[in-house]
Amino acid sequence: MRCGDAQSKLDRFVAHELTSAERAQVGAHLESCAACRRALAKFRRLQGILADAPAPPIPGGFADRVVARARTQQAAAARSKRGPRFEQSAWKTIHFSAARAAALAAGLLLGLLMGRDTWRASAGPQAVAAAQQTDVLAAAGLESLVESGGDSLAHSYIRLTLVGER
Amino acid sequence: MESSLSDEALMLAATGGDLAAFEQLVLRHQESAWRTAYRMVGCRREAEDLAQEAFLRVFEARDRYRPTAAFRTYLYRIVVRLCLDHLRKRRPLATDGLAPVDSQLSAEQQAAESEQAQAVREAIACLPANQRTAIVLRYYEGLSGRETAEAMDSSVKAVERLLARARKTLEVRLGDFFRD
Ligand SMILES: [Zn+2]
Repeated sequence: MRCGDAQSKLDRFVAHELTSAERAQVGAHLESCAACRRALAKFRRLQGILADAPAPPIPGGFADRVVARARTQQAAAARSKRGPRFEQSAWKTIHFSAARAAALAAGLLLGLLMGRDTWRASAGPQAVAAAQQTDVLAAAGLESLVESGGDSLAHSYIRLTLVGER
Repeated sequence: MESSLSDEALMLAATGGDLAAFEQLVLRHQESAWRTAYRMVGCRREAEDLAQEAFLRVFEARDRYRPTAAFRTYLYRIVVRLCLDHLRKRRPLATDGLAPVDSQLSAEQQAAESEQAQAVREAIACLPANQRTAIVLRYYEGLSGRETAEAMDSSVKAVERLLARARKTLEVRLGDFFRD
């Protein structure tokens, strides 16, 4: 093991995070290398020096300010999600459900017809109905209901930071 | 009221719109988020803005959160990313090697800070941003090598190297305090 490798491993050596094989290698190198032993002693000293520089305390009321902003954000999101068209009256909701049911039925029918290979004449309006269903879901902000699962944290994170670039 | 739920469970509750659960998360992690931001940017006002922003991003993205990694690492990752972006915007020509000034630190506060603490703060501020990030997460926040790598979107090996380089620089800059 070279000195450079040993010294970059010192950090995890001290923290007991190395595998036993790596630990043995670093240990053996330290026994035979005075320069790396000095580096280890300096590292321990540096840790003490760093620990001696505390950060100032967090400003008072921090959590309250964050939660207040989150509440505002939540209220705004609820308003925009409901949307003016869907706020009007209850029958709209019923109408919406009926539309979904109809579109779904049309989709099923379309599937059957396609299976029989006799759809050519009738596909037009039904395809439109199926397409409309997708639009209705999108307009209602319901894409999240059909969003695919299995998102990794990394993907969520990447999207999160991309969304944040305002 | 202190909840005994895990961070991940609180996050899932927050996903359902539970603001009290979100508040618990903020209370639990505000210190580390704020400290990290402060050590990264060196200014209290900016640190508050960045730490707040990090929590709000968590809240905004709560529907997409999957408990595949510890919430703590997830939050550090967001804080670090925001701070690095901020530093890049603040110094478009020279991201690294320029000590940030704490405009909020009063004369008395500066006087109360020990000479050594002040030297440490300045030495850390002079490090390139990625070395500073590694130092802050590893030695101040106590993250493991693996967690530090995750929070920095990097590898354990790369973090080892960053830390070794940063330690060399700090040992030179803080040489006066090594003689005891
Ligand atoms: Zn050596």
